[in-house]
Amino acid sequence: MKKQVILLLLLLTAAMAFGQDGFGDIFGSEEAAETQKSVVLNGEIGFDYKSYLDDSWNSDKIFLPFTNLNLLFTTDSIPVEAKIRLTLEGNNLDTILTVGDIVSELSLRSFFSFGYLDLGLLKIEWGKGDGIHVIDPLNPLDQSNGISCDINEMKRSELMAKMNFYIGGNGLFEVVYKPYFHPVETASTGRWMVKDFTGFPSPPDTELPGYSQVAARLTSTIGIFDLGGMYYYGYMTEPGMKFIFTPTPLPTEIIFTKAQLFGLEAGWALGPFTFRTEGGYWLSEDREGMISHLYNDRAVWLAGFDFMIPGTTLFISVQEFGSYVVNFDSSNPLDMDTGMSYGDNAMTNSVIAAVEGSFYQDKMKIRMAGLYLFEANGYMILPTYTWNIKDDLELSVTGQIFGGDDEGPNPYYAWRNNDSISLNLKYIF
Amino acid sequence: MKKILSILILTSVLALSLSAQTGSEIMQKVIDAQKVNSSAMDIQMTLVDKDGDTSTRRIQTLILNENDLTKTITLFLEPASVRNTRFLTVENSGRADDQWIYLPSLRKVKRIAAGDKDGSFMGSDFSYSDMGSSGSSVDDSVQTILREEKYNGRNCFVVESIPNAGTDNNYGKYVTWVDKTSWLTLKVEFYSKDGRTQIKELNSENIVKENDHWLAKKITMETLASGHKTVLDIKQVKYDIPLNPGYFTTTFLETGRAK
Repeated sequence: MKKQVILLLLLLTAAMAFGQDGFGDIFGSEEAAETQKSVVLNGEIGFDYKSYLDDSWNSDKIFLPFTNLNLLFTTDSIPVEAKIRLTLEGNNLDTILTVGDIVSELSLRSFFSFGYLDLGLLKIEWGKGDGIHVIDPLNPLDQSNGISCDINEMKRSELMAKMNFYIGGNGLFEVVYKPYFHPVETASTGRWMVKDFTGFPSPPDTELPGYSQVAARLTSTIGIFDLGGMYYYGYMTEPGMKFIFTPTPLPTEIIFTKAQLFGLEAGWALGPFTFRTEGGYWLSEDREGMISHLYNDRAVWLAGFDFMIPGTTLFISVQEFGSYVVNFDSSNPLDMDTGMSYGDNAMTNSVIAAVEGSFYQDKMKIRMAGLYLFEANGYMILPTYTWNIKDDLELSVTGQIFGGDDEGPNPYYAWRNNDSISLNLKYIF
Repeated sequence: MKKILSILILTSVLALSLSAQTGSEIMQKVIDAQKVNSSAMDIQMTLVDKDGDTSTRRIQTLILNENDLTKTITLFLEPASVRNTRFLTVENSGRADDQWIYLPSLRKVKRIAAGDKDGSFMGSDFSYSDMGSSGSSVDDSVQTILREEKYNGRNCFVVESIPNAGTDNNYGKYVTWVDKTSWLTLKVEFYSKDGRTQIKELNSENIVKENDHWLAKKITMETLASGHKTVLDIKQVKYDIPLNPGYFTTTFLETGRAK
C-alpha cells in the first residue's frame, strides 16, 4: 500500500498547476479575480476532549488534537485535478507513523469530453440514504473507535479506479475496479471491542489479485425522481469462520464470502418532504445456505424521509433500514448467519431519527439523533450542541449513550459502558 | 434562494399585483424591466449584529431563462465552512422546483424539497423564500395602491399586498415602494402573519443603470426585533451573456466543472 501511496504522491506533484474558486471564466479578472489561487488549501485544526462516564478503562479521558488538511490542485491548461487529505491525530503520535496513517485520501481526477476518471485512495458513497446505506459496498467501515455521525469519517479509503461516463446533463454511469479487498474493521481489544476474538486465527492477506472487485452504477433524474441501479461483484465485508471439532469447536480459518450485490435506489421530493429509498439483494456463493462458514443470500432495504416543520427551523429525518437472511437455519449455532443474528432472527430492523434546530442566524444548532435496533433493543443516542463562535471557529458538545440486550453481536450492549461527553473546538480555514 | 440577485423583482412579484388596471401595469413593468435571458452576479453578503460586529459571505450565481423557466446555480465562496457548496434550482412548469445541493463536507449531491423556505439563508436576515419565489404568482395576493410619494428622492408608488388565504407565504402583509423610473422596489416592509406587526424591512440603494438594466447595487434587510441586518453588495453583474448549460446540471454540482 505504501508504494501505491508514494506513486500517487508523485502523480499529484506532476499534476500541480493552477486552481481557482468560483466562476472565474465568467467574472474574469475583475472583482472575482481575487479568488484565483494556484493551489487551494483548506481544512480544519482543533481538538477533541472526550470523557467517558465509566472509568473502568485507562482511556476514561482523552485529549485529542487533530488536523485535517485538504489540498486541491487544478489546472485550466490540462483537465486534471489532484486532491490529498491529510489527517493527523494526537494519538497517532504515540506510534511510528506510516504514510497510510496520515494520508486519508489521495486521488487524481482527469476530465474527458465523455466523463472523468478518478484514481487513487478514494471514499465513494453510493445510495440515496442520508448517512446510512445498504447498497454502499466499496469502502469498509472502521468501527474500531465506535460509531461516528459522519459515515465518511468511518469509511476507510480504498485504492480503486473509477471511470464516470456522462449520461445527459444529470445522468452518470460509474464503473469501478478495486484491486484489493479489506473487511470491516472492529476493535480487537479495549472498550470498543464487541466480541473477544482472542485465540482466533489471523485473517488472510486480501491484498491479492484474487480479491479484486468490480462494480457499476447508473444514476439519472426522471421528473421528480432521482433514480439509480448498481451492481457489485466482490465480497461481503463481515468475516466468516471455519471450525474443527476437538470435540469442542475450534476456529481454524477466516474466510470471506464471495458475493454479488444488486441494488436500486430512488430519491424524490414531494411538497415539504424528501423521500429516500434503497433496496438490494446479496447473491452469495452459498446460495442454499448449506456452508456454515459462508454467509447466505441476503435482502437489504432502507426507506426514509426528511422535512422542515413549516414555520420553524426544525428539520426532522427518519430512516428505517434492515436485512433478511435467506435460508436462515437457526438450528446450527456455528452457522455464520445464526451467530451474527439477534435472537435467532433472520431479520434485523433499525430505525434512525434526528431532529435538528438552527437558531440565532445559524449561530447555534441543536441536534438530537437516535438509533434503535428492534431485535436486540439496542439503542444509541447522540445529542449535539454546536455554537459558531465565529464563521471559522466552531465549538460543539456531543454526547453518546448506548444500551441494549445481551443478544447476539449487539454492539450497543457491548458499548453500554461507553457513554461519553466530548468537547470539540475547531478552526476552519 | 432562486433569483438571488433579483430580490427587488422577487419581492415585487410577491408584493405587486393590483386588482386595478394600473396595478397590473406597474407589476408588468417591474417584471419586464428586469427580464433577461441570462445573468451572472458576484455578491458579498455582510451580516451585522446589533453591536455592529460583522461577518461576511460571498456567493456567485448564474441564472438562465429557457422557455420562461429559470435555472439557477449558486456557488458559495466564503466563509470557509461553506466554501464550494453548490446549489441548483430548476423551475418546472406545473410542479414544484427541483432543488439539489452539493455539500463538500458530505461530498454528495442531495435532492432537497422546495418547501424548505422558512429557514435563514446562510445565517442572514433573508429567508429562502425572501431570496426567490418562482412559484409565487401575482394572483396570490390582493394588491392596493396606498399612495404615491417620494422616497430617497425618487417618485414611488406605495403598494400594500396581502396574500390570499391558503397561499404558502411567510408573511401576512407587504408594503412596497416602487420607483416610477426604474421600476425597482426601493423599500419593502414585511409584516407578521396577522398583518399587524412589521418584522423586517428591506431597503435598496445605489440605483444604477448598467447595460440598459436598472439595478440596486446595495440591498439591506433588517430584522427589527433583533436589530440584526444583512447587506448585499453586488460586486459584479452581467446580463444576457452566453452561459454553458452544463453549469445547470447535477454533474456540475458534483464535479464543479461544466462539461
